[in-house]
Amino acid sequence: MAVISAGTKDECRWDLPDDFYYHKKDHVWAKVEGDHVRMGLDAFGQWAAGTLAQMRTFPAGRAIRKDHAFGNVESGKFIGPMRSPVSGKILEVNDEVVSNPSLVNDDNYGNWIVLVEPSNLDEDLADLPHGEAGIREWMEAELDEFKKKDLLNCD
Amino acid sequence: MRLDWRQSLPDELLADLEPAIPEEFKEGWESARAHFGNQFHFYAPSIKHYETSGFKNSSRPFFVPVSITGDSCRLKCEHCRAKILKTMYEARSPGQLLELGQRIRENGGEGLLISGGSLADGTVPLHGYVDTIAELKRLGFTIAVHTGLVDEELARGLAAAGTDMAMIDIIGDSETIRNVYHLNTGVGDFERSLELLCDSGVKTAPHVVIGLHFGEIKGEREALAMIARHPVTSLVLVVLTSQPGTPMQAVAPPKHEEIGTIFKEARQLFPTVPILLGCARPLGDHKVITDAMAIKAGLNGIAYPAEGIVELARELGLEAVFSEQCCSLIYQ
Repeated sequence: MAVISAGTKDECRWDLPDDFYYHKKDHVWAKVEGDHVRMGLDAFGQWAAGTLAQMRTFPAGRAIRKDHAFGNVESGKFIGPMRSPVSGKILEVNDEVVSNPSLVNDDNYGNWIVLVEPSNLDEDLADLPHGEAGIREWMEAELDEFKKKDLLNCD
Repeated sequence: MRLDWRQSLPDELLADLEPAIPEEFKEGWESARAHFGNQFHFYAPSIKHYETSGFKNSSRPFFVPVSITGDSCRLKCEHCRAKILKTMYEARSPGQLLELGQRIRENGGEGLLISGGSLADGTVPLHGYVDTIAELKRLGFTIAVHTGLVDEELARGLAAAGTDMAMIDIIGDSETIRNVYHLNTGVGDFERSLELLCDSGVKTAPHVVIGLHFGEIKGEREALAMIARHPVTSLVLVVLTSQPGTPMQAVAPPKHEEIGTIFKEARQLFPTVPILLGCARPLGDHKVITDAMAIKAGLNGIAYPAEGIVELARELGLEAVFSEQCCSLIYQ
């Protein structure tokens, strides 16, 4: 587990499992489960977005592409897409989470969003943050960017 | 491959999103085209990170909301309970506001929305900030202010400081003022504030919350009639959005038919004043339909349009114009 923290506030401490892969921009996690990939929002992503009020995804059966949206989310301070870390086809949508997206804020790794059958897995995973060192390097750059934009209110 | 939003929508929504103007909105649509041409304005101030397939803001502090009371508000309105203030930057003294402004300016920011919680009489304690607003104007900021109820001194002070836009909620029903805002004032006090602001010469954008009385339409028409008696710069319509954890959290927003009727009547009453659909409105499917109606009813702009709405405007032959400013500043 990569534990990332900033400032002094308790809320500014984020756990990112080091056996998951991450979409760098949208903080979508990808967990490889045999032939499938389960996806959701990582701890920092759900924190940055705040309490999620709405979520929409493409339906099961729809083909999706790496770095392109498979859905979008809205909260009081965030409206934006969720881009996929991998290409493939959506096998299953977690309807419970889509209809009540604040579940992601309660348990962002337990409350997954879509299950995907990947089509180009090895290549897609190659450039994604993974493992404690890789995650830490990516998140440090991410936190610097947030600080530069005055968006990291952690002290 | 962009997110083709229509594929993620339920079938019953799709009819509302056809690029055709329904009969009830034709007059408003034609009036808007006659007076404003084919431009339609979209806004995404940096209060939120915003990215849809049609428009994206820069996600930097470009137009920043600041509360001069932090997260404190004495009114504790039924639908808000000061929760909206928690999303804002905080500057609890004129010195802190200036310091924050200087930092934001150094980071490329261009605008400030100066807001705050209210005192028990419905005013926002802005008197001590007028000189700081003038100073921030000298730094080059565009300044919008949520004024609350004002006296003559504040109205004149805001105008003299160079405030670019004064924004005030106008309520046309005394029960709503009492039961939702918990204010011991009347409809006339809101009109008096609007009059003072307009007389002072500051550009003024009154806001009307559709459904503020527990989701009912009650006083919106009276508010519009009141506003029509004054030379306002723009009119901002928003829809009741009860915050989670408030007494009104389970209150349903008004029906789309009711919202559409208010849009239509507002357009009739204000043929030459820009009308904007402001930030606050229920999200999700409700927002998609509300936004589509705003375009078709002849409004002039939308803040944070739902996914696909920019495309709908273009399909209707409108030219989309984008800004990261506050929507009430449409005249700029």
